[in-house]
Amino acid sequence: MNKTILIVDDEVHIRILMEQTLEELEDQGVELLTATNGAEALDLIQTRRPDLVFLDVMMPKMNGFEVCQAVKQDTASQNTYIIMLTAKGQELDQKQGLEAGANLYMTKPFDPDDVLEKAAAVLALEL
Amino acid sequence: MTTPPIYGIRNFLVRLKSWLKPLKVIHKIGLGYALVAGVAITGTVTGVAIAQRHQQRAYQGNEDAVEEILRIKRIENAITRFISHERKLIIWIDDPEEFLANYDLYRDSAEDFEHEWNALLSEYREDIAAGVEETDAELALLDDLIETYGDAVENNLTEIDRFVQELDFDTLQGERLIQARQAFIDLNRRASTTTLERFEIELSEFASFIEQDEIQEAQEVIETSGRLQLQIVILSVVLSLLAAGLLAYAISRTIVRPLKAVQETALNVVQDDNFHLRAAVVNSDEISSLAQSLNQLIEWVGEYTYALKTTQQDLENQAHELNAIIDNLGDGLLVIDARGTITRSNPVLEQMFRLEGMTLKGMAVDAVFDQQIIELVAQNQAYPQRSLRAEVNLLNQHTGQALVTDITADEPAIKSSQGTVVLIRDITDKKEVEQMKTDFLSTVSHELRTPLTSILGFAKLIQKKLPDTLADTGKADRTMRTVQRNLSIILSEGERLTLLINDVLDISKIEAGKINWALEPTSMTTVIESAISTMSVLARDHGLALTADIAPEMPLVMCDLNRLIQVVINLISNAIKFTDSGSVVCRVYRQQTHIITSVIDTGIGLSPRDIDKVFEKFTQVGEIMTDKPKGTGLGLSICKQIIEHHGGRIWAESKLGQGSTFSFSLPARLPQEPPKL
Repeated sequence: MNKTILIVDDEVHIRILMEQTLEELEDQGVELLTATNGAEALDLIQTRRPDLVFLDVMMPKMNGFEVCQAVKQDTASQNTYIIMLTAKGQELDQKQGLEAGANLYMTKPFDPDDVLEKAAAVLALEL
Repeated sequence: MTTPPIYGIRNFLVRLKSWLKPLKVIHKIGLGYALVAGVAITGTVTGVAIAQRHQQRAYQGNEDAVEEILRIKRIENAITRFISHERKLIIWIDDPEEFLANYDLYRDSAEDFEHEWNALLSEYREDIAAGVEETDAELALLDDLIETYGDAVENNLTEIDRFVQELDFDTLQGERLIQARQAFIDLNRRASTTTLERFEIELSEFASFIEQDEIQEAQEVIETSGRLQLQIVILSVVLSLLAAGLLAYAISRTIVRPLKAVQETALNVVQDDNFHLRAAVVNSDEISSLAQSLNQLIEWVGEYTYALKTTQQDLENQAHELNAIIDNLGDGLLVIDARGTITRSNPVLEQMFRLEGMTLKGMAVDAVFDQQIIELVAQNQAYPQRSLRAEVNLLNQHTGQALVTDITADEPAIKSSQGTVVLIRDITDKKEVEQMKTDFLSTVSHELRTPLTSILGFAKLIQKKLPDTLADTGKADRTMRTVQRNLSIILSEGERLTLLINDVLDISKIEAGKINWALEPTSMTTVIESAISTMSVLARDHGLALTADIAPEMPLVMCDLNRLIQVVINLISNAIKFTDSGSVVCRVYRQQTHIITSVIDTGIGLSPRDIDKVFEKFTQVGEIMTDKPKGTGLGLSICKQIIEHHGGRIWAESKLGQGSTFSFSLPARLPQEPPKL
């Protein structure tokens, strides 16, 4: 079964950057999904069951913490690996993110290599 | 020209006064007694002397009288002899020898009489001429005697002489003798005998009269002199009484009156509180000296009283000023004594807790305030040396910041706390502003990061994927290298921008108090080991030895572990950045109540001018034009903020070219201390 990664960000450029960063994994059969807001992300998580979610925090409608909380509270989706990816880099936010159930917390701006390495590691793929 | 006596007396009194003035009281009293005694003694002596003189005069008079009587007796005797010899002449008329012998005796006695009589008369005349008083009766008697008998003897003698001349003893015989004898008898009888005999008797009476008179006179003189003596003594007693009265008056004048004046002055000073009054100083005796001392005392007391009043007034003014300051203070003030009783509050505080109109003074703090205030006060009183800062909830969702400090007396002798001062500032508005600022910063940070993420991300991807995509055609090789270098610059600058954003956000959050500090008892060993493990790769890359040197048995410190690691990493990072070769050592040791952590490098060092500036914001040490900046310029500033928040201090020691030592101190957590809130 193919692995799936969901990229959630309201910024189109960030989505494109993420897609390009994870291109190499796509070559290995990983499917990349994108969502532009929290609600859409939650919808996709419930329907497509991605293995890994890169979740932006500050988004319209529903923010990343809320999405994360919802995902981790749902027994069906609670094993989803969630990496919070946010511009807010302070401890308070990090703590809040981890409390919401995120597995990892990465700050923007990020090094594409780090993101790629993390994703590969989570999905147990080799680069 | 003569001075009227009244002026003379007045003049004398004035001079006496001016002579008495400088005398001491004791001399004045002595003088008074001397005066009284002098009057008494003089009076008595005078009286006795006068009486003595009178008595002497009386004795003299007596003696004179006796002499006079003796003379009269001699006169009597002469007359007796005269009469006797005359009679014998009659007998011896027949014997011429005997007769003549007798006649000689007769003449002798006449001579004796003459002599004494004349002496008596001349004495009387002398006495009268000398003014010696004789009684009228005596004079009258004497005059009588002179008139009656003055010539009796002489007449007798004349007749007898004539008779004798006529005698012729040769023929006197017989009848002739009888006739002669008869004639002689007749003559005798007629001329003298009876007269002389009467004269004799009267002289005798005169003598006894004189005797009587003189005795009486002497007695009178003695009586008079006794009376005189008594009068003089009485007079002297009266005079000395008068002098004593004068003395008493003088004493009252010179002693009692000035004393009374001094006493009145003292009384008036006390009653009227008037320190301008002075006792009169009229002369130089003891009382004047007392008055002078009193004046000095009044002056001093006046000065002290004035100084005291001034000080009191100053204190009152200060107290009023202080009250005004406290009442108009913008912050709420609450003062509680060591027993938890409210001793002071101000209107702002009363408004904050809606306590207007209540008398807070004297009430227990527990009875008026809620738990948060009570706890702050209790904590302060338990650990007075530590001042507390805490946020408290006020009414209407207002927030106050309370600063709780203890009242420590200035005197080192009083060690215990005197109470607690709570100062509450309404920081609701400030908090709102801070919230807005934080939100703004957060947003700005986010808004900056998003494009930065794209820029850096894409640059990184290009850098990574370009060589793969473009075949090594040789022609494109140079272009390729240029693009790679440019991308490197974009990335490095972008990373710098990212760091800057992080640091700005960091420092603004610390300054706004927005950081949640996770303070826990922590070992510095943990902090140093974490920092070293993070930085060891970088150190190795620079060819530097990074080691720890931690003294044994270090007490723990209360700190936020991650923040402290951040500080140590920052210091190590700086040390590596400015050290070309050698080592970086992290040393931890104890200095009394503090733990000192030093990061010691062997790098380029700092000039004294730069040392002071390194902890300022955006300060990059060194020449801007030649040294490439290697940081944001906020790292040490953040370190300073973090260390100071922990109650510590950070400083640098260095010499150009001899390496630098950056150290910070943190209060050691001593076992007996309670966990900090």
